[in-house]
Amino acid sequence: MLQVVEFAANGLALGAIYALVSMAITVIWATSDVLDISSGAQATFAGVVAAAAGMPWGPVAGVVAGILTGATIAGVFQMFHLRGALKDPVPIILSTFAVLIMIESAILTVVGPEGVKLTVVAGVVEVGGAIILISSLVAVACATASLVVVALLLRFTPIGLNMRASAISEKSARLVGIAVRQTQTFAFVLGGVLVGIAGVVAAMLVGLSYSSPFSLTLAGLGGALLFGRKTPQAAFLGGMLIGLAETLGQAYLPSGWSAGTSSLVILLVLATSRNAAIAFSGARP
Amino acid sequence: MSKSVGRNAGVLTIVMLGILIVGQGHSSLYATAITVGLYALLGVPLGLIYGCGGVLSLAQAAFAAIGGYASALLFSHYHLPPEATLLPAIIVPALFAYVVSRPILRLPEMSMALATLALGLLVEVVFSSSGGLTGGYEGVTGLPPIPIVGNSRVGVLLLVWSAVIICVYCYDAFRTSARGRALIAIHVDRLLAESVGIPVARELSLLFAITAGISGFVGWLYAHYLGYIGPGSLNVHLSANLLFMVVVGGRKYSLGPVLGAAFFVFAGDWLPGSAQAHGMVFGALIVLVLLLVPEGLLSLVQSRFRWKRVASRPIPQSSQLSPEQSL
Repeated sequence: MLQVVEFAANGLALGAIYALVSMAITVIWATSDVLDISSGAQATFAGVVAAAAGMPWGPVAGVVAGILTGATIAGVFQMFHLRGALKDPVPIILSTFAVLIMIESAILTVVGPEGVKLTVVAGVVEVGGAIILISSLVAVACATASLVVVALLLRFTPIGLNMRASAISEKSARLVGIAVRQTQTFAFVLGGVLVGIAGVVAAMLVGLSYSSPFSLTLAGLGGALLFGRKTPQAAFLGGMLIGLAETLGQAYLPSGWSAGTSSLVILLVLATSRNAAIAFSGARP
Repeated sequence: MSKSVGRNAGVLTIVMLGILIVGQGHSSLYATAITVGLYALLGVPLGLIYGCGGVLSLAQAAFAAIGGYASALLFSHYHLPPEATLLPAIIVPALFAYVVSRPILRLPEMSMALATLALGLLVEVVFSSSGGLTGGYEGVTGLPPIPIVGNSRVGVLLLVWSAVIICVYCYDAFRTSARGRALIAIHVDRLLAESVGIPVARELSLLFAITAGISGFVGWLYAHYLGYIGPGSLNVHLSANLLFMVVVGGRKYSLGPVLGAAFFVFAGDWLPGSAQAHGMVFGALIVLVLLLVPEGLLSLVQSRFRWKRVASRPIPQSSQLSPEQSL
């Protein structure tokens, strides 16, 4: 029983990373209709920067790196918009995939094939006999705090209301005077902040390498899809569950099979969901 | 049937002959051309189902892997020669694709891409984790060479490029046929296509299965050309690259994926710096192409020819105009 509690704690910590990436994907997609495949790469870049900077400034440097990559993707998005190339979503989505390849290659060139890790807090706490890493608690706390901030931002601030209006109808938002392009740019930057935090947490908890981006993106997408990717809260919950399922899979499935958890979730949700017909179709929440 | 159906196949035949002649002096060209041909053979069917049918599949490499593994496992476990494993290598992925296509192909474009991506990753996990059966991460080695052509590079080149030429010819013939037009109708408006009696689910599933079968054939070629197949050989990154090839080359043209494949392979060969750093330049190059030429590189060639045709057309004199045109 204690072992299950420990696995669950590790799973929730891993889920915290995925939840942050899922929230970033959801916020960007809802506001701009772009499925950002590079989210995992941005998180990895942020984590690598954080690990290179070390403590005490590593986490700050990581989040700044996340913001910069988010702003870069926003720049690419705006260029596509200027050229009127957003009617077909595939080229812009493939561009985010190309950014993922660029970041993977940059990390492999600069850091090498070995992974990096950031030591923020060490030690363990004992809860009812179960031993839990303090870094796991920090990870869950970071993800939860991020969720609360994003939810409050969307609910109570003018930019949050603009984002929600743009998400419901871009045309109507523009008609009532909302600067939709700036709002979408802000969504990319907000996504950058979230993946920046995800990267710092991942560097602290599991370590990151050049091969991390794709698996992070996939887990993030799985989390964003699981409960319908309508709100950051749903994305948070989805990410947490993917992390939990993956950790329990690592513990109880034969070696290697847990790597398919995110894929299995995505496939099952899309193939069986009643709402599959509107999934990623351009129908915004 | 349109007169232009055989034109693209003819162009490719000339290219193949050119490679054969130039390659006499530069033997490395044969290996490069074989790689381009294998990618093109995977890309052309993807171009058809995506460009005409709107089916965005990221599982093509997985189907190729299924075909390659089917052949490799039949050889390693039952000692069947490659001649006997060719048919299973085509049929197994085609059947698999047909079975999984029904729940996947009803999805919108991006969801379909995600579902096929997940499918591709699951196939990779199955092959890498079933150690006893598939050789795990090490894969299957010691496979015999392709029958008849053996280890001859010229032979393999002729085989692969002949398959590409046939594929391109079939693509063009299909697109101009009634079924091809039905596929385009499905892409434009699925509901309308159903309302005029097109069996949408059956047509898409069938085409998806055929493309998977062709991918299985590529997997067979790949496995016996290299004598090896592993879970990393035909992985999901290759599927993504195939989609890049199709879009960069031009998804609405039968030659687009071939041009895209050539662009990918030659860009990889000619880029400066270490192989590790290629991804940075390559990624930037892809973003630029997608941004500047979203319809693909081949659209540049076509628009240039169209401009030339318009420019060379004589301007009609007012006396030559019909009364309606004069008004």
